[in-house]
Amino acid sequence: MTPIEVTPQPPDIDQRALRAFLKAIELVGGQRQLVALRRLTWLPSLMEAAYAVVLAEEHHWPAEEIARLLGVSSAAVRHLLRAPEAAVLERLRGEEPSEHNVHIAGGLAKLALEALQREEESGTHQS
Amino acid sequence: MKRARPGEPCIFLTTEAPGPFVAGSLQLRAQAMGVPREAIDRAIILIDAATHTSLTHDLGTLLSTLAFAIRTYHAQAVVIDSLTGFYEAREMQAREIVRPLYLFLKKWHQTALAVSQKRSGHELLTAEAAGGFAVGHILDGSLVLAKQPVLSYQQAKLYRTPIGETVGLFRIDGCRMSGHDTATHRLEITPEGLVRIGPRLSDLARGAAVSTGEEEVE
Repeated sequence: MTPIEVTPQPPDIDQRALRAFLKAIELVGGQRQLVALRRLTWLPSLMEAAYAVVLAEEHHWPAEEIARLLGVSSAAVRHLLRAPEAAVLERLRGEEPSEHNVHIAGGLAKLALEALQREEESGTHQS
Repeated sequence: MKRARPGEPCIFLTTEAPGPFVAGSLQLRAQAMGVPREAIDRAIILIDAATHTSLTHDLGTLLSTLAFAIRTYHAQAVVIDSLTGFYEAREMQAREIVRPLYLFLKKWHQTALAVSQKRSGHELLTAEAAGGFAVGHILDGSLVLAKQPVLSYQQAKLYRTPIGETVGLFRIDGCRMSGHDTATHRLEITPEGLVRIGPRLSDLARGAAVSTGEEEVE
């Protein structure tokens, strides 16, 4: 007999980015709300931001590598990853934003990933 | 081994020896400690990064594998032997690898013990030797182990070991979470591989001084 062995479990980045993307839509009030607000054009940026945030936060990819994968500049990735979540929340609540030129999709994706991580953590503790 | 004995699931992550060798060595230690073999088979979860190199090269795969093992087996403790294996030939990135790993283990409420080798340029018995490349500062505490060849009559007297032998030394370099002993101790490794922390060097030195004094009287 030998100890139990666990083989490598490569992370499913696509699935994770998709979950962050869907969570971000949920945070803005669902896809119907996006239709009502005429904001469906946010979706491509949101998908891009979901990938960037997942890769940076959970896989520690440098901005250059994320930029290569997404086909954008590394400056764009850095701008997206720096997006302040608080300013995005203000914007979503319809308040006058305290900061301008904020990457909405980047902030939303960060909020979404944090929400997902919180949910998973509470799920782990319950089990 | 101590925590696995009552059946608490513990993860052993190896980057040095391949899995079958680690399993064999764990069984020897268990035998030495009187831990039943079934306890290891039941409670120790082995992750073999020495064989599966994707674990040492891709932090995402490593963290995802650890999360899977912790979630599946409800593990509460992780032993990493050794941390140095994750930044072989890329020492500049040591902190970039160790910090996420540390934060990950905190997030998952794990008690972790990580081994790290000192490099030849690192001074003996320092935090640098314990963690290497300043990674020791990231972790909560550092236990420093060192080997010291006995080359002088004075050292032989202090360590009570013949010239030409090697003595092991042990020191707690720092602990963020609690107070600790600051003395340097003798350390012995038994043939079965168990570590025994011996007397403080200060106590040994006092003993040596007393015996020197006696000799002088004689």
